[in-house]
Amino acid sequence: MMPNPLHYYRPDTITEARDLFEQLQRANQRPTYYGGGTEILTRSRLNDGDFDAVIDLKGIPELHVHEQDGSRLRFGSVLRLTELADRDLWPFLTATVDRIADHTTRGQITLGGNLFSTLPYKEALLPFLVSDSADLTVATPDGVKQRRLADVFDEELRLDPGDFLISVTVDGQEAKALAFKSFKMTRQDWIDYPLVTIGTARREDGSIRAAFSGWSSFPFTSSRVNKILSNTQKPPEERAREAVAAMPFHAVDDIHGSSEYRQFVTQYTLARMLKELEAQS
Amino acid sequence: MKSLTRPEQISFNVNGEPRDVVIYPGETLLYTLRGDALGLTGAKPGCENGDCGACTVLVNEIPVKSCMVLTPEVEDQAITTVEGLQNAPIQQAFLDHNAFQCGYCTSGFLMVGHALSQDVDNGSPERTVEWLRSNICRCTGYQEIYDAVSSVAHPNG
Repeated sequence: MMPNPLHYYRPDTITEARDLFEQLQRANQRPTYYGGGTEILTRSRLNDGDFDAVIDLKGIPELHVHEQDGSRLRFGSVLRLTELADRDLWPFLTATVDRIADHTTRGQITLGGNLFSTLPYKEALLPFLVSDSADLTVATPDGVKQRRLADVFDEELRLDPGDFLISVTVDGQEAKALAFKSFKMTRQDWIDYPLVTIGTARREDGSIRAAFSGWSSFPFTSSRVNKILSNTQKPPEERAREAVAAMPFHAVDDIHGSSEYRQFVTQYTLARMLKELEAQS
Repeated sequence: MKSLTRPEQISFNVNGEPRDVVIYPGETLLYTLRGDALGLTGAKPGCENGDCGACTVLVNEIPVKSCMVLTPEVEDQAITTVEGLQNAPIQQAFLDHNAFQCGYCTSGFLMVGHALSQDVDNGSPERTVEWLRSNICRCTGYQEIYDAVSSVAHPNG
């Protein structure tokens, strides 16, 4: 049981949710948006949550959208990770989210919850980070707005307080043209936080992009690393070694693995991924 | 808009029966199920952190860890707990394969196994392993549990 008093609200519309957030703030409450609840409830149990009201977004139909909308693939923010995998609209996204947590928990975690997690990993971001066309549809005080993911991503997705994610879209042609590999490496157990999760994609022009989670305290992609990985004049092992040396951030040193071990695992995993990607073509 | 700011009565269906229960807004489903009003203590509090799976129940036939769900979220939905399994094949399978030791994790494993047994057409050893990774048995009786669940989840191999 969560500490009381915790207030629970389940709005039916985007406007209701957005207005409610401001209304609760004006009443000196500390609201937070609520999707699957796995992280919020875990943090509440540890008294590590600065909120006393949850706004459950699952009652809003627009946040459940899961479709090819014209030329774009659209993923609603309260879709469960298992729903994304079962429908498999974008196999790169499926391969990445299907390694988050365990199967039962993936039936509870939502896409939006993962993207806006306070944990460092946010693995669902990786496929969107390597694409050029990822957009966010966001609820703001001025109505529903489109934002380029690249414009709001700075170590994390930064929305204004009270704004919330409605859906993420990506160009369907770009998504389908990406040959991809997604590997999650853990220290020992299959179910664990990652030492490193890597999403790599080979674009139609032959260039390679990679995004990393677990290496640092936030997910990232790096144009310098991508340039090294794309230099197919060099063998995969050499490119992987150079890429790890050129990472823009230090590898974290934590309970899951030392910085040196992370570098070692990332290097051999990258080399393997490059070989497999290039063998596909 | 649904709004709960104090103890209030909500309705849902538990094991095939409509039930009305007064809950606090911040109550987890695990707490509500095990409370005096329902008294369904089959779902076990283990880690209460979403890791162990001992509290697994079905919501609309999908396994969920009830320690990770606020009760207001499941208003008007169908909950199945281990008490709701009446002569389900998974129960006999656990007996046949001696798939328990201390028994604390058993109800969670039964619920995952029961959910798998409801979709045999998509059953496979890989799927069974993936679903069972959601639960922990500290007595480490995994092989017997896997054998029991496999016998109902993908009976043809």
